[in-house]
Amino acid sequence: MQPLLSVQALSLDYALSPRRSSSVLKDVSFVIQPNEAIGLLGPSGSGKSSLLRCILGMPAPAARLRCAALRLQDRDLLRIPASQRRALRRRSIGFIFQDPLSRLSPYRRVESQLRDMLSPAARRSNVLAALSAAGFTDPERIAAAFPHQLSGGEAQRVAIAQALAAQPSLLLADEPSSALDTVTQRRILDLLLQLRAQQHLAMLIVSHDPALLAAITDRILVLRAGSLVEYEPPPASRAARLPAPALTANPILRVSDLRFAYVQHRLWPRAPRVTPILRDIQLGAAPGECLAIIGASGCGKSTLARCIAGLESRFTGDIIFNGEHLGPARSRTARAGIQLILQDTAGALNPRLTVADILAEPLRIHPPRSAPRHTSRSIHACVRSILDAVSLPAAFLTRRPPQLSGGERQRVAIARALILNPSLLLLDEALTGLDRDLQDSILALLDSLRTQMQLACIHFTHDLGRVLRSANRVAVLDHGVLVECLPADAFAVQARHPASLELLHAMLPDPAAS
Amino acid sequence: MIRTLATRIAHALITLFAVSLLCFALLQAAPGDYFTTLTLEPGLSTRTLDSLRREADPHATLVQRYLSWCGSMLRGDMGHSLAYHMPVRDLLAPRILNTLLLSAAGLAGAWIVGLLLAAIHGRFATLVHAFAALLWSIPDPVLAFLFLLAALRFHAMAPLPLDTSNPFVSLATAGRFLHAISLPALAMSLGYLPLILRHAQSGVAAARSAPAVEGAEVRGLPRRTVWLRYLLPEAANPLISLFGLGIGSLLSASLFVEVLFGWPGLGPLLLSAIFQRDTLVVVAGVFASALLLIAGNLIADLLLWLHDPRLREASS
Repeated sequence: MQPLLSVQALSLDYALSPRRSSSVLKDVSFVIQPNEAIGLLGPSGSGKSSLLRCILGMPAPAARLRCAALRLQDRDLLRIPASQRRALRRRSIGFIFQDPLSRLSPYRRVESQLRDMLSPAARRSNVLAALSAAGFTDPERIAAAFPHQLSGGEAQRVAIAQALAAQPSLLLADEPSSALDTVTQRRILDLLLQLRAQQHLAMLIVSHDPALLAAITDRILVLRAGSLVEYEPPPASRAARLPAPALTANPILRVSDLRFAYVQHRLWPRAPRVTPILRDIQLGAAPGECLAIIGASGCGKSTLARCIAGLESRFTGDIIFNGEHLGPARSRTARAGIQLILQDTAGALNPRLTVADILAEPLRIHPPRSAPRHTSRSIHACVRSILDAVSLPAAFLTRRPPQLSGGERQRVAIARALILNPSLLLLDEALTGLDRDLQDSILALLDSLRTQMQLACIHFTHDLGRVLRSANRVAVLDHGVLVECLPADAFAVQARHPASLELLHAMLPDPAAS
Repeated sequence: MIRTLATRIAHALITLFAVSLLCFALLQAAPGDYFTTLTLEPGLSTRTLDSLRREADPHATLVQRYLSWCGSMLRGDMGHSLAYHMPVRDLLAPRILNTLLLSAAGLAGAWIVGLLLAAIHGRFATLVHAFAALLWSIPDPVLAFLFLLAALRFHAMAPLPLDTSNPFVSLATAGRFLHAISLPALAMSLGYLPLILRHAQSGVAAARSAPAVEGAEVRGLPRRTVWLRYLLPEAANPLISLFGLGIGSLLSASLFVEVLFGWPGLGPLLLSAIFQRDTLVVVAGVFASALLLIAGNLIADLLLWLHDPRLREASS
């Protein structure tokens, strides 16, 4: 049988200067049969997205592409004129982006953008049918909406409708669900599975998450440093969870009756518009404990983290840290003792500072109360040891954030948070989007700090998978209310609230366990 | 939206009267007045001048004078020109029309050529960029003058029609008018072109790599569709603002060109009125110019509001 797509000996490098070039893909060959789903796995920067762009016939302008053959059915994509390639992209290849919302033009309604993908004679009913096929129950509303009125999950469904509108034979997807929360992600994956069965679609799905690929593809290819290698399920090696610390009389953090609302003052009508975000949150954390607060996006996780970290001051209720009531003005000890790590590492680090400066800054802001004061030598020693603790080489000290990968930046952010020896670490989706190996190594680092320094960690996340193995307790936040709080090992069995059950259902089986 | 519009118009009115007050005050602050130049006339005695002065302007203070001007302005009367002995409105109306015709022609030419050149992509884009930089680095008056000198080699200047208030009464007058306006309009276009070209070029370049445009490319939409429905809307916002500024400067931008080419527009008239201290003419000219500036901004905001659904949502 003739394969649908065959890639033979594809190599790609980027010309950095006339003399130097960096190799992105080396001698990549594979085939996709009709109606076959293939997963492409690889850490960030391994050339996954570049490979997809080559298959589209749109390598980046600075890229040099060499390929023996890149055939879709009977046509060689690299040896046909650009206009034919364009037509082929429209008719035979569907593409789903990682960031569906920004790929829609903000100025035009969904209907007219979807119509572009259908034939000019397409009627409104065709548009609505395409939307229904993508799983919308109310296609009229979606068709009339502008992109900014869609949620992330809706935008991804619109993107799927767009990709499949011309009934292509091959669907390419670049991290189709990494921008979505777990529940929405699961729904999108179910939709893809269903569409594949209905439309006899071949798929090539790119992701850094093996669990996702194992769930929806027939086989997995791994791209490592530009070459295809065999996929092996990762060993189920993680050490057992640390025992929960004994509940002491003085918890490191106690939150009681915490409420937070956004208040919008208006000239007329005078009554302010109040949007409640958090309602009556009760929460405690013992020294050395690891707590996971999970919930779908928009449930108030980040706001809770910001309240505890002191970035929001207009809350009501009590936050007691180490015996201190935290109000709008908090003591230096409290500020140094609570550290927050964010998901967006690119925005969290000043791109103009070197890693050494970034790590030294907290020490300069919080000089020790008693002698000895920090000297530049002692600061340097501190920075070196903390960099070692997050297993980054000393050579990184002189680099700046843009020169680091996402995982490396996140480790720098964690090192910056840990350099003041905090007693409470807040991680707001800090592990989301990182490779699995990296997540494991960071969790292991946090585990060792918990035993050594009695560090308490609170993970705020929508991704149950990784965190469930490390946390002692899991609390579920739903629309600003903490609906359930259970020991982590009993969570899967005892969870009763619909929000918890939905999160559990969305969890993908771990390929290592099977 | 209605509320926003109402506040904007209220602001506009305040601005208009503030501008005219400032204009009055500045003219008042300068030494001398219209009649000072008349003292050089041998046949006029100081006493005659004083009575003339009182007759022309019975008000003693600036505030009185300004308030009476506001009153007549509200009735639609712009006052009387001292130098030309005729109502300011009749004096200005044809001049303003001439200037608007010239500026609009010049601006339209610059916009069309600018947008077309901005669409050029690839090797020649650098060339276009360099051309824009060259034009921009020459001061506008010098550019217009050089253009005039160069054009005179090829183009016999048309005798200027003194009354262009209605050039399209017959084909012959229309032809003469077009002949007369072609050179100054071209000179104006040249002055405007680099500004528009730079903005359009950078707008298009940014839009080309915008995620939505890239998405349209990946989906394999025809080039024309990508350009018209994805790329241009993406590049439009800064251009719309620039367009509003252009409308605002319709009366003032052509001053150099009008003076150089002897175009009977508002510019030369205002210039001589300032020298002659013909207060009401100056104030009325400035008032018209400010009105247009405000209208330009309002039009740009309205266009942006129509263009961007996110703005519509934010204001409703």
